[in-house]
Amino acid sequence: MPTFVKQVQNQQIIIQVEIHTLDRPDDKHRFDALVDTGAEGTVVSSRVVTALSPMAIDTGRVILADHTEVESPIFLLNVAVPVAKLPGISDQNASGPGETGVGGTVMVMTLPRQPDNYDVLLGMDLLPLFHITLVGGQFLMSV
Amino acid sequence: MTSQVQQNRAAFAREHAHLEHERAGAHALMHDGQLIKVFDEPGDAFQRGMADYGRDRFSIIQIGAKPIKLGAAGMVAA
Repeated sequence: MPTFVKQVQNQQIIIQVEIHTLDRPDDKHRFDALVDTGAEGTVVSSRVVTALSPMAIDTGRVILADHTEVESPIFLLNVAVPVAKLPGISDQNASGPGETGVGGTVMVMTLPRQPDNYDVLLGMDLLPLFHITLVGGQFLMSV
Repeated sequence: MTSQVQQNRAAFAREHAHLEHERAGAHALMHDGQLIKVFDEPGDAFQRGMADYGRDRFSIIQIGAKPIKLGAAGMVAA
C-alpha cells in the first residue's frame, strides 16, 4: 500500500492534507496538519476557513488542553491525506505520479487562534483510517 | 453565524430533545426552525439541504454531539 515517511521534529508530526468543501469539490487546498492522537476530532485554523469559505452548518464546543471550553462554528469538510503511488516508501505525501488521497467527510470546528506551524489538527475521527508506525524518530503512514 | 443556525438550534432544543435518545449520532437537517429529515451521514444531509434550500438557508445538527477534547497537543485559551 502507498506509504510515506516523515521525520518527527520537535515532538511533532506534521504532514500535508488536502481539503475541500462539499459544494466546491474541485476547489482543493493543501495545508500542514499536526497528527494528534489525543484529539477527539479534527479542527482547523481560521486560515483554512478564510481559504475555503465553507458554510457553517451548526455551532459546537471545543475543550482545549487547559480544559477551557470555547464555542466554534461547525463546518462540513472533506479532509484527505494525499500520497504518491510510488513503489516502496516515499519521503513525501504532498505530490507525485498517480497520487491518491484517503480521508473522508468530517464535521470540523475551529481553533481559537492561529498555530505557528500548522493549520489543521488531524484527530481521531480520521486517524483510524490509516496504518501508522512510529519508530526511530520516524513517522510512517500507509493508506 | 447564520440566523438559520441560531433559529434551528433553538427549535431543535425546544421541540426535538427526545431525538437525543432515539437517534444519537445521526444528523438532523433543519430549515426555518423545522426538522426536515434525519440522515445517518452528514454529507447526505448537506446535499439535500443545498439542493432544496441553498447555501446558508439550512443547518445540520449532529444529534447528541458532545464537545470535542483536543488533548495535550491542543492549545490553551489565550
